[in-house]
Amino acid sequence: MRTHRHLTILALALAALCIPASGASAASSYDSCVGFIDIVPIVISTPGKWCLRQYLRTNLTATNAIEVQTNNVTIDCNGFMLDNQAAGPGTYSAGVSARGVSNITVRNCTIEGFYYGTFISSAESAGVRGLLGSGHLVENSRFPQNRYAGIHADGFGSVIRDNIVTNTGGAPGWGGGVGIVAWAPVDVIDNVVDGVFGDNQTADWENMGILAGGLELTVAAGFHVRGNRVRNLAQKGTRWPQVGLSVTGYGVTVQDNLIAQHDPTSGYALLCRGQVDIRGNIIKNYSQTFYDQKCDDQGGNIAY
Amino acid sequence: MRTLRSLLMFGFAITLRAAAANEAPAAESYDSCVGDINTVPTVITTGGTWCLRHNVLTNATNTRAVDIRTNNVTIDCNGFRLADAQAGPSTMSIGITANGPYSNIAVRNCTIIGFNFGIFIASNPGGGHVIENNLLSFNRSAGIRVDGAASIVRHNTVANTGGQPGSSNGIGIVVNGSVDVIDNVVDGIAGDGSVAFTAYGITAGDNLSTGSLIRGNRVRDLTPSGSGSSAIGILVYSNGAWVRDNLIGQQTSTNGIGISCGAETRVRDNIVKNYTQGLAGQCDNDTGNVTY
Repeated sequence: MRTHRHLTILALALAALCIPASGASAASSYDSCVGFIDIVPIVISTPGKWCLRQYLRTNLTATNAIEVQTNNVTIDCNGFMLDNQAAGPGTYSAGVSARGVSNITVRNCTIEGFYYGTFISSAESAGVRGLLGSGHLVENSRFPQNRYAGIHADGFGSVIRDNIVTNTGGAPGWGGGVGIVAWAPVDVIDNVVDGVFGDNQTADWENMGILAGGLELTVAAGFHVRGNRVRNLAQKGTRWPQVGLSVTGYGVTVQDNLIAQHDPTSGYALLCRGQVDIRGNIIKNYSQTFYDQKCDDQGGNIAY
Repeated sequence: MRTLRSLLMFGFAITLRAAAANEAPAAESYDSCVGDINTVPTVITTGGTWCLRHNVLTNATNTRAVDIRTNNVTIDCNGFRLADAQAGPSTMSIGITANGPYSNIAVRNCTIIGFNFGIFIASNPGGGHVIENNLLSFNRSAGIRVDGAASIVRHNTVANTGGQPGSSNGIGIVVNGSVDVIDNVVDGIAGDGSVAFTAYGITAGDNLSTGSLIRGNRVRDLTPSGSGSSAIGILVYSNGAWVRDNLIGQQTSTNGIGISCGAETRVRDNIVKNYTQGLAGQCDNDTGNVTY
């Protein structure tokens, strides 16, 4: 027994030796940066990794802070913050914006106080249907206090993972906010959405934790919404429901998500359109667990 | 003798680690550091990433080695040690702390040894903290404490916690608020032997918080001592928490509870070994839990 204990302790310490070697989040190097974002607004028209190397504070109300206009761009904030709180709740700016381009990555950022924290759209313009871009990745970032949505990203083969989205909402005239908007087949994995609310001047709120899928059901297929924690959607009025996850598509899996309210809440934990398999989700304090018969219960879902 | 030998072995291993860490900087980059932490105590009042470039040692018995007093701060130790090892078990010092309405604090890649609390982040209001990839060892009351909504404690190793003289309990990881505790190792919690001692692996939540996720943690080798004492692997207060896929094991039969639940806690797919009670309190035993 004694030997076993000693071996355990030694193994622990040796395991600790490996922590730096894993290097998952070691202090960042600028070696691979093709350029630096030292002021905003800025337009990125050259591919590669563009880096923040300082805290950036701005007060943009109509201009996007970082506008990406070419494919294959990574925005790496290196832990620095892009802060637009000074613009107030009426801003219509995005922290990082890209339209109609592919392979856009945003990582290691804290983006605060924009209308959208990120708006990465595969369509060229708001009025254009159809997806022209793909392969986006938004990861390891925080999105506090953005006014309508923390993250918007759409496009084939895209992933939104390991982000923390907090206190989203408050845009004037909007009766609700959305933590994460993931149009089309985007995998949404292991994110935290905590706190979504509407404009105080509106009588009724309809807040949403994660909106995944697409209006075009034929293209929104085969994506995964897994391991997310959606909490504290604020309720005001009774006209509209609160919605934890809204998922539209075919061959979609919604698995192992935690969708919880502290108090009983009028709304739907899961709203499914198309054909959506749901399994192993925990749902607490929603008046209705599922909305629509398109939620195909594959077992292990618990609502209470 | 047994404890001494264990300490010697651990010390030897830590020495190895320090040697390795001192060679590490060639592989690290400090480009994104806004400043360095070369001595302690230090107060951080500017946001950004603050870095260790070498081991930082103290023997203070009542200090806040790294005291964060603003939002959006990352402490990146780059694998180096922050140690209070010479202060002894009575120390009341804290390794890294933020105590105020601060948000978005991160602590990563640190080895924190010998404090009363290794990491103590107490924010209300405030939140969005991330504590990841750290080793906490020989801290006297708790390895990690985090209060604050929408926070995550993940991929940490918390070893050999306890030993504060006269203390009746020690805790590996403490979280309050809606904090997710994911994929951590808590191994070894023991008292100083002077009073009855209850060992807690992980305690999570309070009555105000909602929906914490406690997943994939391994809690081992809790050592209660004295009359009426017990071990509690995971203790959950949080309203509507989800406890799943954790391994809570003791080498020998131990008086205590593997998972103790507060109101409406869902419990699934956990393995509990050698506790007198596997699940207790208001656990909703969903499926896949094994106690033996």
